[in-house]
Amino acid sequence: MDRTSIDLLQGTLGVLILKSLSWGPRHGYGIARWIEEVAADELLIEEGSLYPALHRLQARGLVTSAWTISETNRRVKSYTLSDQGRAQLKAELSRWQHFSAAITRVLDARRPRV
Amino acid sequence: MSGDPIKHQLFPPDIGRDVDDELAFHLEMRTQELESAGVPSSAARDAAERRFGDATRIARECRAIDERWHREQRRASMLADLRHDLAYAVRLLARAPSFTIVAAITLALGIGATTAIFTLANWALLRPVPGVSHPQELQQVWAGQRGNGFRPAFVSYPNFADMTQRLKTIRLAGTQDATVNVATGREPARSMPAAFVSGSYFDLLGVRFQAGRPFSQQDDNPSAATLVAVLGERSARLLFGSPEAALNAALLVNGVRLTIVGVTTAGFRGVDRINTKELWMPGSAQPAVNHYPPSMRLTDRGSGAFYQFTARLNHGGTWPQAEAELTSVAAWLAAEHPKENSRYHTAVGFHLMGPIGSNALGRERTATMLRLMLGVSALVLLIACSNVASLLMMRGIGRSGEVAIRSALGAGRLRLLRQHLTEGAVLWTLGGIAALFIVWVLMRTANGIALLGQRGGTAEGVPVDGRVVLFAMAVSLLAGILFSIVPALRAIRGGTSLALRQNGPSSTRHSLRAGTALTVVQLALSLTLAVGALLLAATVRQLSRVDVGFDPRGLYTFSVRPGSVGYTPAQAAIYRDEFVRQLSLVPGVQNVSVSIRAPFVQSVLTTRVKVDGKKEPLEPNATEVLSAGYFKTLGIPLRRGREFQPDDLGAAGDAARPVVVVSEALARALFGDADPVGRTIEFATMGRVGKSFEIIGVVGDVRINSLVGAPEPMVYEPAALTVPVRPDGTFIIRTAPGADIAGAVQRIAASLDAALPIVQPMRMEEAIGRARAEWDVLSRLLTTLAGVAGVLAVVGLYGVVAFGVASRRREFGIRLALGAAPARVVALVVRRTALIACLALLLGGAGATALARLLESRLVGVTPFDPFIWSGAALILLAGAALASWIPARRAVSVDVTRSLRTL
Repeated sequence: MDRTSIDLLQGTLGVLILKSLSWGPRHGYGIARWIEEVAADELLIEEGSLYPALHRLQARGLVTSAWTISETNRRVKSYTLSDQGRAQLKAELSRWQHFSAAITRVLDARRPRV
Repeated sequence: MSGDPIKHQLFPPDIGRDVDDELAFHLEMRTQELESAGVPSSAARDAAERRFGDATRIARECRAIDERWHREQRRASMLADLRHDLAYAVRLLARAPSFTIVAAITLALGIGATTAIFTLANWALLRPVPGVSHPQELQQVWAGQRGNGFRPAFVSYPNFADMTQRLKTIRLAGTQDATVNVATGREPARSMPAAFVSGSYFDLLGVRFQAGRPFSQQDDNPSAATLVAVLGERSARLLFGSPEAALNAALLVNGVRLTIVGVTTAGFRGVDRINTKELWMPGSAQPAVNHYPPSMRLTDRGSGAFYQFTARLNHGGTWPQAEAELTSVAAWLAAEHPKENSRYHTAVGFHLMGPIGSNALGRERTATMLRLMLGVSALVLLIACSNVASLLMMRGIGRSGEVAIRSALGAGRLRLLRQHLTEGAVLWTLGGIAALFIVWVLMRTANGIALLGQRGGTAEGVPVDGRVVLFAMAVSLLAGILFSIVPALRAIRGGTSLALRQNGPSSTRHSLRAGTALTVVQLALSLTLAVGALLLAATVRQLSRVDVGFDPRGLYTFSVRPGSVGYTPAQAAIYRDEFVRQLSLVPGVQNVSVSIRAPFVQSVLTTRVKVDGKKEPLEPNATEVLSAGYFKTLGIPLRRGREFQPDDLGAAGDAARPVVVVSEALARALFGDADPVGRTIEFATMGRVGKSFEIIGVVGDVRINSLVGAPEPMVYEPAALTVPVRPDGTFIIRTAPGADIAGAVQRIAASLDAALPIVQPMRMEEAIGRARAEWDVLSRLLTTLAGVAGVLAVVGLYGVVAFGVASRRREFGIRLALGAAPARVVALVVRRTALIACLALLLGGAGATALARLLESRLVGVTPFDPFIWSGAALILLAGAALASWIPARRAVSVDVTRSLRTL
């Protein structure tokens, strides 16, 4: 099977992270796994780049973080979507839908009659 | 990681460790997953790392993001706290407007006094001279002999050219001050402060021009001077309407036609703030403008052009280097031209005289005076601040409930302290802003030169600049925080339990004790100031009664300079005679006399006098007399012999006889008790050396310049000792009491020659008053400040006593109910005040001793420990204290017994 890969647009990773957190808190690895599963390997991201993006979201107040102890007795940092982050996600989604609808309309257009 | 910002402040998270843990967890989880999918464990770790990317770079990036975020959060939380404290403080102060207003006014007085003095110091000493570029690179260089004062030695053009060539670390521009007659041909001539400057002057100072150009080296050519002038912006507007109109216009300076080639930028008034200039001419124009005889040529090495210079340090040079270079240049000049420059061998040299901006000799005096004034105003500030501090303390007692509630609700001690300090800072800043406003209004109308007790050029408002604002705000904030520390600590002390438990008396007593201590300090400081003010007032009184040796009442004086517009001596004599004739016709004029200088108006001329047989010459002051009746007009008593007769003075163009009149002090110094009349002395002034003169009379001693010290010995010589006579003259006129002849003098001058203005017209009492100006200023200032201090201290004492009475109301009520006589209750209150007053007397006595010692050098006719003044000041303090305790004591007795008992 041919693998189509899409280079992630600048800032798109942030939206993916926000989306992944919309069902509840996750740690960084959990977010990476979710993106992997949902995108079914169609989106190739360098896993490490997830973390600067996460920290940036935190500095912007879109996500909050807390340290918890895992079952294996390890310190795990998990992230939660803040109210502000939820609003941001909503705005980004509607923006994306408008954008993709517009692109789709353009690409599906028939040859114009002269 | 987010969460409580305060917790972050106290326990900053370990960002590096957090990031490392987070990333390590990810790699581990991935490795585990790969292993469980069947990848061998060694390959699994590698694969995980590959998928992750550059872990070091990512960790670094995360750390940077987190660190920036934490910094922002910390700053935000601090700002939020400050904003909260400020809002709270403003709310509290707004809730008690009368307290706030009283406190702010008190503080405005204290801060205002200090800021006003600082504004003066800033103007006179700190601010750069306006219109000059990089004034900090400039210093004054004077040529001459330093010692008691300064004896100038003029530098000739050839010497100046050599100096300019040999000096490597500095560049020099010469200046020679002059007061000249200026006319445009359209209006009457006027007298104008001017300076002759070397061609390098404007370039060296970096002066910008409103119109036209600065002088060039060609303009300043000693063998062929160009007759050009540069005018100040204000004078250009005054004389010609605009700077552009002044350009290329002709200006008659001392009757000589100069062409205006430039008009300087508005701010520039020369390098001296106090003796400002309006007109500049090339130094080489001196012979033409000053009407030198043809024998005096600036190209001669032995002649003179300048003794004051402005020096600019070249890049990389230092002032010590410059000083060494100046010394070696002086030595070189003496060695190269021994005949003309022999004087550079001796004590004469080139001296660095400090920064530009004011007369080098006067600056030290101004600085000392300003330091003294600043110190005194700081005392007033101290009183005002402690006054408000004790107000705050009493308010703190009223707020103990609020503090208790707040700390019960979890506000930490530190937080409460900060809140109180913020309140103080806000209150003091309020006072500071009010003070700045007062100072601004004061300085807009003030004449800085007069405020410093000096005489000088044009008076303008003293600028209130950024440095002054900064000073006022810094003083306010610092004093605000400092003086609210104690009230704040007192207010929050004990915290919850104590304040809630007790309802007053004990904490009241604590605060009362602190308030009492502050009151003692305030009263002591005002006693100190009162002693200082009284000492200076006594000095001024003494100075105004000093016997000057002549009768200044009704004396009027002015000068004319016919020589300055080209009169020959003979023409000048005719002019003077006609002026005297017309003056004597003016109603109210009793006597007119003409000489070269008048006491307290013109500068002093020193001479050398020797009696044959005695070795040591004396150096008395001299006055050149032009017309008979000098002593009669001034009212100087004749002790022995006779006055000058017209024959002695060389009437009708003849040379005067070699005769002199001496003062009693000089006669005593020369001959002891023997009769000096008929004896001869050897006498040298103004280059006339060594002739024998017969003493024809002895007159009483007079003061001619200073009101302090013993009158100096004087010799009076005929002005016409050599023919031709100097063409200038100073008129001294005795008028009937109440007669005003100023208008008549101006009318006569205009009718005789409109191109010849009169110079320095003034009443003699005014001239003598100027010699007192410095004391006047200091005395007035100290009296004002002492008054302010006294009122503040008495109000402070009243506050403490009244508060004490109020808090002991119940006790007094009980005492009265149990039959105590009202007088006993009054005694209780008064005893307390008396104790405060006694402590203040002791402490203030110590302070006054220090101030009196500081003032000692400025006291005249009064000793620093004058018993009358000291007891007077003590009486004022006691009277103030009595007044402050009388009203509260009355209230103590009028306590309503039943009501005070009911609140028990």
